[in-house]
Amino acid sequence: MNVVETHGLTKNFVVYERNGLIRRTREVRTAVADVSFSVAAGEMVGYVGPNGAGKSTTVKILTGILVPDAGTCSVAGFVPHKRRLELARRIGVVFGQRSNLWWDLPLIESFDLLRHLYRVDHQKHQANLDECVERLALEDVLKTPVRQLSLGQRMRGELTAALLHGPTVLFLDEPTIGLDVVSKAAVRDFLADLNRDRNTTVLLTTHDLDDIERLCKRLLIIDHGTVIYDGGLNELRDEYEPYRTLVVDLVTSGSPLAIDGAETVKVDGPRQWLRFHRDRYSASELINRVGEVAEIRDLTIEEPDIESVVAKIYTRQT
Amino acid sequence: MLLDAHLILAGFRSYATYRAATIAGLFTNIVFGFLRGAILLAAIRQAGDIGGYSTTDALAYVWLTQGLIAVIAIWNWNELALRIESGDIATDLTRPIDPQRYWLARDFGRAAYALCIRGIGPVAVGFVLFDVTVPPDVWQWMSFVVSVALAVWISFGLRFIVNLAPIWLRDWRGALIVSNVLATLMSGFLMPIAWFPHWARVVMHALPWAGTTQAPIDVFLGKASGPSGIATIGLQAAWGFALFVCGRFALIAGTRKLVVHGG
Amino acid sequence: MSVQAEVSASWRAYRHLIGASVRAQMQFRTSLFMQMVASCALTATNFIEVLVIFDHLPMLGNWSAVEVAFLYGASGIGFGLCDMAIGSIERTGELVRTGKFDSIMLRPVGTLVSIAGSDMALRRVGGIAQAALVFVVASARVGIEFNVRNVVLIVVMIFGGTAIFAAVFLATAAIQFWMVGANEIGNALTYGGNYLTSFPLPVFSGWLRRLLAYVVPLAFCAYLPALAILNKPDELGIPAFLRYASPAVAAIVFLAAYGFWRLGVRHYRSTGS
Repeated sequence: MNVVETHGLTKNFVVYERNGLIRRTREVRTAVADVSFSVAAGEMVGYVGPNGAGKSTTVKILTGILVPDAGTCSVAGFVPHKRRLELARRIGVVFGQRSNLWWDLPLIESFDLLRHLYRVDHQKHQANLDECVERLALEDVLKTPVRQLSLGQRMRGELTAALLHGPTVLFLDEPTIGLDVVSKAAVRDFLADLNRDRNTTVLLTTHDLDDIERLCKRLLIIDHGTVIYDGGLNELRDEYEPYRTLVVDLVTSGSPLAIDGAETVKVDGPRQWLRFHRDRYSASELINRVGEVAEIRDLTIEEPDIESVVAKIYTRQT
Repeated sequence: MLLDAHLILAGFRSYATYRAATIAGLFTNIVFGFLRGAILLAAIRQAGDIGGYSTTDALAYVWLTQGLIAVIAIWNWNELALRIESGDIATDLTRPIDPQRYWLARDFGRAAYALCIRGIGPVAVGFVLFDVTVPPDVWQWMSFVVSVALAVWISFGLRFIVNLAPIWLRDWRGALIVSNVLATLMSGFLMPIAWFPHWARVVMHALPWAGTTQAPIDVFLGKASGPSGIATIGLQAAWGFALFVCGRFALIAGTRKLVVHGG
Repeated sequence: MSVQAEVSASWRAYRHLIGASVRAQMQFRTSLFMQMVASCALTATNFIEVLVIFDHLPMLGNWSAVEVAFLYGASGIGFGLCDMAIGSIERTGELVRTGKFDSIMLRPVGTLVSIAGSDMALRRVGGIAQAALVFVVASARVGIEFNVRNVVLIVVMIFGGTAIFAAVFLATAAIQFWMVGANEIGNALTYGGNYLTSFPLPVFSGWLRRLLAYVVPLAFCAYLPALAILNKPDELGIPAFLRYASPAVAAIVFLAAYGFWRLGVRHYRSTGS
């Protein structure tokens, strides 16, 4: 069953460019053009694209904030812009740079207030709260006013706030932006658990491709308002960057290795980098071949980072 | 001097970006001009002249004060206080320019922009639509211009000191509101100072707030001309200078506190 | 959901939001107290204006000092209550500009309730107290009889005023969906309206009176009901039954303003800015 479905979604904005004191020119800019995709229940999808590509416009349409100019969409069984208030109770939204919490009140009071706004039954609320508090380790800061929380604590608070009413879909916009490494890991672990245990569908917009790598099997890439890639992360790699790199630390420094099926791209003392095609050769095969000509002390295999993959798509598009 | 000119221009430009706010403010100032004018007019028509104000004086007074609001900006200016509260002031202190000079120059830029639209606008509306008192000669006009410039200086002096409050007070917004109330009451903005009882007049004329509003208007209407005009402008200059010196001491003390205690 | 259920749900949400806003402000008691005193002082300056004028003349038109004080008090209470209850919608343009309006749209609560409830200006209690004090003293001195009719009329005057001012606030906030950054444009009608209604209407003349008193029906905030309570003749020749029309007028303009607000939200949802 599809929890999110869009078909031919289009949104134009009219912008006025001022030239001179009074004269202005009217220009129609297409933010989202003919976007169609669907997300099945329990999927966790990364929504990626450069600034101004139309990511947040799509999210705003899906959450009922904006009315699309053309196309259809449904989220959790509702047409978002027609049933905004009902939809609100079935989705959770976290905007990384905007707070949904009450700045001057203790965290727990924000949660309590949200219970009333979302009209969540007391027991359900308490169960959700207990679970989030435990998993996100919020126990110690529940009585702290939000303004005194660290960014990481606040983001964990925001996540909790978005989940208290038990949404079926979670929209996350840059949930790890500005966080330190530890908090990022905590947030990612939590989201992975949430998706696994509760089968919550997650649509994740992010600049941090580590988020995607860690969390999403499927990826939607949008540029200039259109979806330019929809598929799995691994398939994306296969198509656009099918090479992996074997990094070997040899016992002795030497000249670049000449191994059949691999290209030695870099040498740094005893460490060498060998690039090979993921489909044509297996890593073990290659390791054996290296072992035949040199003594290996240590090795790692590097996957191409998704950033360069995405960059390739962009350049291929243009 | 070149530096100051640049700062003034920068101040002018940065305020010029708030176009919608400027138009909205202008609209509000004009509507209030009509309302206040109607009330003063009704009072004078019934009582004959009040405190030496004829109807033409009162209308000039109303529209000039409506124009001065944004120019002297004595209400609600908290740009510096917000920078101190947020800690951004640290960057200001690392610049190779004296902060007081920087903010003063910027404020003159702000005032110049305010004058162009929100200053001239209400005055133009009032002076075209109503029969108002106008200075009889060039000298009085020029004195008025000098007096308005001094009014901005005094207003800046007061605001600068109040805006340093967050260095010492957590409740600096309270201090700002106290300053707003005093400015409304004492400047001659609420009602011409001449309309107040004698004892209040004496107090109000002696304090710096009168220099921000009532003084330029007295000069404009010729209520302070000749020797009394010189005295009025002289008192403005004295207050401007005194406040500037106070601001300097406050800034030195404040900087020391920020540097020592790390804000 | 039926209209009735919707209204009651909104009301409950509003109460919870207000409660949170009050608790948040109570965290800074000293600050709140100072702001209340300041609010009181700022409203008092307007009353000082009245006092200064009547220092020079016994009557303004055919209105005495106490009668004007009565108007001033009624207008001040009505305006203060309204400003306290929904004054934070003044910030609509700012919310749109900073994108916070999006967060508000994501709540399962109406936008108006969400914004109005987000920041109840408790400090206004100071101004309301000042206006109330003036009103009580003026009522006692002006010699009205405290019978059922007059008490009802006073209540109607004050709450009718609150609702009409609320409509003005709402309509001027809605303009900000089209003119982001123009939050001051509302001040002309809100604070300007409060100023106007503090004085007898005949003081003003021409298009200004027609616009603010009848088009924006501020005449129904204090002036017309006060004529009924004080049993005064009207110089303007306004039909006498309109002295009792405040509640009906308030209901109509509030609904109209709410419709305009909805239009503003719809505009936002189609343009996103």
